[in-house]
Amino acid sequence: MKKLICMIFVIFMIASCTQTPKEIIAPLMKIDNTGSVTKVIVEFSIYNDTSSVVFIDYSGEMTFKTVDGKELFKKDFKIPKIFPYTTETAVVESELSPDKLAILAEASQIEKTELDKKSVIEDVFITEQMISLDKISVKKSDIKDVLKGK
Amino acid sequence: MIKTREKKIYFYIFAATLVISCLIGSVSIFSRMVIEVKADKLLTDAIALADRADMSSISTADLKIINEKYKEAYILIRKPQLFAAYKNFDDQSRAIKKILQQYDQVASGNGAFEPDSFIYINYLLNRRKSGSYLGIYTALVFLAMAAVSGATLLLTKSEN
Repeated sequence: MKKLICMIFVIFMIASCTQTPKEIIAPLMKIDNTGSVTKVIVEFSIYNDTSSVVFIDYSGEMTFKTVDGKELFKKDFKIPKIFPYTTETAVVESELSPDKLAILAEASQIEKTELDKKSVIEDVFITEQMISLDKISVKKSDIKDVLKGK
Repeated sequence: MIKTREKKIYFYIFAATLVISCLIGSVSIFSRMVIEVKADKLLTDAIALADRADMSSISTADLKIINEKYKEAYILIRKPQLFAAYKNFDDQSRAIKKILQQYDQVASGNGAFEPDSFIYINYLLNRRKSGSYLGIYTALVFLAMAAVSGATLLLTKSEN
């Protein structure tokens, strides 16, 4: 009987813990070639699927890589607040060396002539596999406390 | 021997159903008698103020009071009732997600509640009310189960 009660208690405890979201939604890339160095701007969103938990200072390290796993850059990101049932976007910007840019262009099927132009290539579709999030740290707050300004 | 085991079973069923009934009942009655009454009053006050004033010439002070009352009512009912979770996959919850997305932002300081916010906050309140009624009925069912098992326990005891 005692074992059964303990098991039920543990199951309730595990079920009641809010998981930290790590699923990346709608990642996009922009290549800015207008300056002296080429910049890659990656945007991705995180969705808070809980009904009453606010994720505060959702931060971590984003690794941007090609589909076959070649690492292009690593950069920290931070989202100040994600309210329940909302999606917030993180923007990560990094300079890219010409050899890494060539790898990225090949992987993203961008023409070399496009890259040579002094222009901005907007909204390049990238797959979720090209981004991985590590060292995630987040503070979880109750929605009532956040709304009351605690 | 069998009678003793039977008595134990009846006792455990009686105790478990009674405890569950008390837990669900107390949460639901508290919601019905305290939270919902408070939220109802705040909404009625706000709507009365909005009705009294001509909407085209409503003063900033009145708008501020209306906003405060709506905000207080919203925070009171923001966390769902035990039996009316916002996560449930029903038609109402889809609309509620949209309301929560918008009003969480407003209540956290990004904007103000409009006088017509009554409709949406009242929608949340009605869901909470239906949840607490469901909770009270569930508690009554468990109480009936406790009564039946309790009576059976007494009958078994008196037979010995």
